[in-house]
Amino acid sequence: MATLAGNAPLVTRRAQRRLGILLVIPVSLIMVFFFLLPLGNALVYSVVDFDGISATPPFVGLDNFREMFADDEVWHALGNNAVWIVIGTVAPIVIGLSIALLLWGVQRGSVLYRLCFFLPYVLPPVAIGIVWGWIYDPVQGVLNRALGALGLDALQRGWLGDPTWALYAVLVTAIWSYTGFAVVIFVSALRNVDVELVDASRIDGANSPSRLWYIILPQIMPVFLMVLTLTLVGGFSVFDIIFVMTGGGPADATNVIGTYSYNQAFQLSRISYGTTLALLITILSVPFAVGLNKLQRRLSLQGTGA
Amino acid sequence: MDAPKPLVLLALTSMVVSLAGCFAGGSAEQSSAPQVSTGPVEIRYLIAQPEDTADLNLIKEDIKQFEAQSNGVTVKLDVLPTENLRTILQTQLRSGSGPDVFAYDTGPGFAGALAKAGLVHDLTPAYDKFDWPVYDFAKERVTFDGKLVGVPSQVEEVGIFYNKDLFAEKGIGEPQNLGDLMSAAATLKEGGVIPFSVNDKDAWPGGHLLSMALSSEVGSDGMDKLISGETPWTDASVVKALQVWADLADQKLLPDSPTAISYDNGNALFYSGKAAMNPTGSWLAQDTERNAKFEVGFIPFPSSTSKGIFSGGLGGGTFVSANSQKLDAAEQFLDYQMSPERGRWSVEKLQAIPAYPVDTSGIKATPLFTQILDDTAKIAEGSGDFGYNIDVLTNDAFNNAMWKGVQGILSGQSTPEKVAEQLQKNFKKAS
Amino acid sequence: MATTTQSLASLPVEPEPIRSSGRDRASAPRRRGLLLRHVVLAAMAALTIVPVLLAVSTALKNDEDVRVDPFGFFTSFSLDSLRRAWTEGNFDNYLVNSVLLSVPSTLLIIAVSTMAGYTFARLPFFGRTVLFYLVVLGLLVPFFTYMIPLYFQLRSVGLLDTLGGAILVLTSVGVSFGTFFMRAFFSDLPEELEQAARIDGCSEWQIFVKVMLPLVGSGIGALAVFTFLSTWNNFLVPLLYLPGGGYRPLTAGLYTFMGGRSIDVGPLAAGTLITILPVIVLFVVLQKQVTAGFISGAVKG
Repeated sequence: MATLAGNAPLVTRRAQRRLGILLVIPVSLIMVFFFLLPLGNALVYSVVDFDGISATPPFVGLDNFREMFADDEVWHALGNNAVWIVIGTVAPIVIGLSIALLLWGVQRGSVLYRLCFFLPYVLPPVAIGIVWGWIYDPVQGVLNRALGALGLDALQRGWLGDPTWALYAVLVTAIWSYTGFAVVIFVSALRNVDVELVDASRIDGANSPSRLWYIILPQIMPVFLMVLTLTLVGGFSVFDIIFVMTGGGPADATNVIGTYSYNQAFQLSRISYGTTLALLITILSVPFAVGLNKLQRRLSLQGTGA
Repeated sequence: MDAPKPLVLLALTSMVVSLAGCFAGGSAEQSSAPQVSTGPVEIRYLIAQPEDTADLNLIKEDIKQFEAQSNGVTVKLDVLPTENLRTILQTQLRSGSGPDVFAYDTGPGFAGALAKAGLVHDLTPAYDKFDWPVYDFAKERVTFDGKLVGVPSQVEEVGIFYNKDLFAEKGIGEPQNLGDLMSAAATLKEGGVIPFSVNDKDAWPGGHLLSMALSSEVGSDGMDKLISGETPWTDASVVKALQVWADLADQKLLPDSPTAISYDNGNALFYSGKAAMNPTGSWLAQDTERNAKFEVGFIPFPSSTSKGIFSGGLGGGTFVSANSQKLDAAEQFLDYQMSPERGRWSVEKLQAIPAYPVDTSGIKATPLFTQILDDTAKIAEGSGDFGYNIDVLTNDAFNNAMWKGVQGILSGQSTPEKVAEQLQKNFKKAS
Repeated sequence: MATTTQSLASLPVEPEPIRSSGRDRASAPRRRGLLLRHVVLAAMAALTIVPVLLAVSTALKNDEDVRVDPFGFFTSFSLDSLRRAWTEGNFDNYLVNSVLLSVPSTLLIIAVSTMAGYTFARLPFFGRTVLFYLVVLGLLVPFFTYMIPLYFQLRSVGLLDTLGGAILVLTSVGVSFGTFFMRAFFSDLPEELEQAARIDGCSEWQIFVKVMLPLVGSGIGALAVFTFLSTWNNFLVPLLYLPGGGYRPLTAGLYTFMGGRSIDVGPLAAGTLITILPVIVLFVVLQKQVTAGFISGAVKG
């Protein structure tokens, strides 16, 4: 943060203060009205019983929270969130890093490759959900047909309609769309890796895995952690792709807290309960975000070179 | 001087002001006395987005026909996506800038809720004045608190379309009871055909599956008792009806993974002859006739002891806003919708079953559809019993439990007993 | 790790640094390794693109084919579905609406974020840090938490279902990141420039507009592309806050197109294609900015 030292002339400081306040009014207004206010209201909603219509909803204290903790579906959805967070974080990072490593030595066509890998990330989730829905269609979809053509009929499934597989099917789609992001970030991070160090270790006889673990990873650790944080925190509030592909179904099989909250609020008009669930997401994800951020800062300060 | 103070003050004030309004749903204007329509009057007509754009054109055509003989009443058509209709409608009706006439579902969670909130115009006097010949059972669906508040649009029946040719080929006769149906299914399966083309990816078909099995089993009396809360939904009859579908799924008489089969997929399976029966509704009659290259029959879902009865529901109704300034013109529009000519037009063009008797002689309707029409008329006249389409009669939470429940049964995630329990838990008597 | 200077033994394949382009270290294992690398990369790239190709293929089929075999790759060609989606399906309106929503939002976000970012980077005042934490809070708290109350709030002030309301919501969703981003750029600029300008007699405003702003041009460019893409792809905001379907953009339009009982796959695919085509074109043309934008945004976080 660039701050003026205390020995700047008073005139300047006052002028800066004036301009600063002026310039910061738009963002403040926006944040207050479109973020703070609804956030405050969310807390209010969670302690009343609001159905979307009545202007004076009754105060119910902690009832919504009590219901939430006793609700089996909440735990089920959280379980799905957990699966999503773990697999949805590990897979893109591992695959993304692998592809980035592969790309590291390649110059011909690297632009084309990066284009291909990053493209899914910029596509709208709605479109992605629709197209992958076609791939997973049990009767005419690409996947089942390909399996049939390869003689792997036994592996054919209902995919998005199959309660055991649906969540993983959607996960694969999400990973497909997200990995490109990891690839691009890692590619750029790898550019900053000290190649001589890597070469030297190679000369020392270190094999690929240990080179990766002891040399390369530490140098890209800040970026690595950042991708980890973003992905992990995103896993709590995942919504769009699941909503489009399965809506949380079949029979709640792919329900995560996000879809559960939406359904409660907008399909069953249980606004308060839906809001309470949404608050749960925040309460869970903020500590992770803050914690991981601190970790990242601490590691960068320590200087994670070899 | 502390610079941020004004900012904080501003924030606090706006917070207080906004909190005051945070629950508000928009103001309702006072409605003045309705005008008599003299001279050109325009009424606003709000409908949900029809699935087919071709249907939208038909509706526009319908409106033009009305305007041609309306003496100056014109109709402005507004179209909303179905899922948004409910939230928008309430706001609009309250605000006084809403539609004059609108098409909506007739269930207690839909029109019923509006009626309770006093947002729909009482049409009981209009019924007397215009003498609309609506079927009694249809009238019941648009009566709330003893007042007739809407005009039924069309009747939808659920039952089973079946491939007559395929049945004949396998030597199967029309099922006379549930046992016949099951053995027919077994025979079909042996012959390499999927007996039932059940699609439940969208969850709502599950409601129809339950409706048809349950209605046939308990008859309209039994359904009445369930809907009114006299019989609990944990009753053995409900469990049995759910069990039927569980059994069909267990015995693999349905397509693999029915919860993955979409509506279109399911219908395609039937049209292509890969599946022999399609349990769905009369709205599909036209499509079926167009796409099936074989003779198609439509039968009710059998009960353990008999051929079973058709389950019907009122698809929707047309209502008038209580805050409308143009009640006369609105009622005129409704009268047009109840006219015999319009009835024939809707049979011919919309392939819809009107909720009042229509002289079908000379109409170009397909044989399948004519049969359905005749059956409906017979039922309305009282020479047949009629079951109910549950989802238009029950509240959201119940429907949610029902749709999810059937999905759960078909996918093996739940059992009939558990689902019945959930139904009872979420059931709320319609007031 | 100690570096030693032993002679190069024959070594397993190793990523070549990009700098050493063109030099032909043509030992057989290295060449084979490179080839293998390309094969794997090409295969993965191809797999990655398959779904996009599927969308294109399905959108370009003729009616008959799309009914019978919607997902076979490129088995026919016709512009019928595209035409139907464009006219009957209203995708021409949706496209316009997407522009109507994304462009103003992007401009607003850039304007607001740049001003705020500069302030947080270089214009101290009492309470600035607290305000900054507020902005950061916007990044931490998921949209989910307050989207429901926001709906009712907008309804009560009459902003629900209006273009303005939707634009403001989109803006509010993007300013946190935008501010963060621009602040990082402004922070990197040297103080000397500021002081020199001050000595020259520039007012603070002039310093901002004439000196600092031009220097973060690339940052603004990257933010613009990033923001435009994310508002274009946003689906929840128009779905929730434009329930009347008035200014429905492509994303919400696609979603509602899927509703109803029967689904018309041909026009749906065409609609999907219309939705993703601008994104793809923008991406290909501006790919450097796009990737640079994402990278710097992420790294500076």
